[in-house]
Amino acid sequence: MMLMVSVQNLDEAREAVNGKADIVDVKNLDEVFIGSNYPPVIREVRAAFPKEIHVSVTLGSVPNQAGTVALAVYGAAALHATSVKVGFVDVSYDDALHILNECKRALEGSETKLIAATFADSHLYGGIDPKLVVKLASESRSDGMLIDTLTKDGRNLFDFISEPELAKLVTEAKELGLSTALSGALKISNFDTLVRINPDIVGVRGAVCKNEDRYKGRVERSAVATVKKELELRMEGKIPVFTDSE
Amino acid sequence: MLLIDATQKNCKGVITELEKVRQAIDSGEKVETLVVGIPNRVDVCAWARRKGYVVERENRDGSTFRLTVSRR
Repeated sequence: MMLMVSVQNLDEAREAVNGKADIVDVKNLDEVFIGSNYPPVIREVRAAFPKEIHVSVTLGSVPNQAGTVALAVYGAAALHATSVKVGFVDVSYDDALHILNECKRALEGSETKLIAATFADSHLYGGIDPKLVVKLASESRSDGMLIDTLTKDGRNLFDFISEPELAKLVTEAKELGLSTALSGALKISNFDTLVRINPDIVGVRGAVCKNEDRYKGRVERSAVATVKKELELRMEGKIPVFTDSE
Repeated sequence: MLLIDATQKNCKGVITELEKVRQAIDSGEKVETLVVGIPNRVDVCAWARRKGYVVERENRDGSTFRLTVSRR
């Protein structure tokens, strides 16, 4: 399981990588919901690390405009992002599929992976059912799927989708050859559950920020290192996450 | 009994290997799967459960798990 840390700039990216994050996810928290960062910032982050450190780019929740989104995805590829995440809120399934199909077409000839994202709490925002993410990713020939949350009020992923439901979605996606990622205000106290579900990637920000404040705090390497260690201890079985019957 | 050595596989790789032997399991064959690490063990168990199979035996040697998957 890889640790993905959301960052807003190169300083935070360095803290994340020095704390042993596997992926830095560049985003912009100043934009509504989750927005994209500026190309120079992404270029700077990508240039700072070897290819083994994945640099993902989030487009956040995208508008229902396939051409605009496809061009943004193309931009992420031009910046040599490892992956680009396209999230949907107030969009129908068919429109989301159309947008992703155009994104896939925009990435032809590129090594950048396309990740379809939905939000576990999208019902609060009139969005599409997050459980459609596997179907959406598969039908659009995306490389992976992500389930995140938009609500940042203390509730997290597991307040909106249960462990069995997430486990089912993750297994189903893996069967289809998709990479799987879960995020959404995740904390160390969620790691037992996450290791039982076993997505390929776990995304955090608040948990690795000063005072656990995802907006005002900044990513700190010591917190990243602690989170990484806690994840590894569970993956190695040094902290048990299963009951005897499991 | 079929043997799948997935000790060099990770993430979706383990499940991809298991998907290749579904027909054999459906026809009554048992499949012994070798994986390294708890995350990969989780994947084998979850996959078996989802497909209606059962992990009928499990042994651990250090970080290597040996799981026997069969039809119910």
